[in-house]
Amino acid sequence: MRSDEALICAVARGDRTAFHELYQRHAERVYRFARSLVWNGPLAEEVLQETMLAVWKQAGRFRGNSKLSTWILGIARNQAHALQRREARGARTPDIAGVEPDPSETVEIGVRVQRALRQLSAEHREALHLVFFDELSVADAAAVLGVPEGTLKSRLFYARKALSKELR
Amino acid sequence: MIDCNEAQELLPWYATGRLPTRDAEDVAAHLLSCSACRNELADVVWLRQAIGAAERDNPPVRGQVWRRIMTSAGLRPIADIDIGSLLVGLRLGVSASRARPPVRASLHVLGRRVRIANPSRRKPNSDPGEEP
Repeated sequence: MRSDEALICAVARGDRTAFHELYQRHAERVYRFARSLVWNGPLAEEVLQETMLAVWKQAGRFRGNSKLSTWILGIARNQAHALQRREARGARTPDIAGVEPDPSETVEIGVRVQRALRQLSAEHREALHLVFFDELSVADAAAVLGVPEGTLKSRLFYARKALSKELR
Repeated sequence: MIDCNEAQELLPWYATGRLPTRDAEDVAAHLLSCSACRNELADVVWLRQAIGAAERDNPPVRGQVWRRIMTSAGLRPIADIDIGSLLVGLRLGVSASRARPPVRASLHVLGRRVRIANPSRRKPNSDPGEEP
């Protein structure tokens, strides 16, 4: 199996097979992160699509200063914010299919936590997702969010308190 | 020795095993002597499991997203035309896509592919197919 670094170098040379392999390796993670930000399945898929297109076009710009997954999640975060801004300006039509409850939402704890997460700010949700679900280190999560490590620690502390309050 | 505030900020990474060894040892030493932070750790562990359950309830990404990406990137042929003869083992294929160059052609003689036109700056390898 090729390393992430080997894959992104191949993608920068226009290797479609490598691009496909990269997609298979990272798509689910990017999609779930996007979903935690935008709370809408179709919109999260758009974020994934725009993110992977950016990876295809900008692969040559990856310098290896961070992990590839950190770089991709950072792109996804920017794409999610850009799509939300366009939606807020009315430049695109929100997809109402995405706000319908998922049929799989039948497990009580999952539903309760999803409802509680929905009440939190996007800043708190993304911090909770990256640390508790993606299990990123302090340094990697701070790099994705573009904040100092101290800021992330305190943000996560308040995010935990906010979520606990919603779940009570 | 770290205090409660420092320990509680680090608990999420302690719970996921993502703390550097030295920090993890500091948190562990603090937990030995602080019941309040042990309770806090129990909350963090529960929260981690609950968030995991909530995330796993979401459906996975759909296969059609890859097709859309390939089309948007101009990597998916819009049309393919094959003109050939089984009798003499000759086949001429022409495909069009939004990528550069917009039209590609290839020649197969007795099953062996001979590319006759693909002046692309980027030289893609084999096509990975449509579905992930």
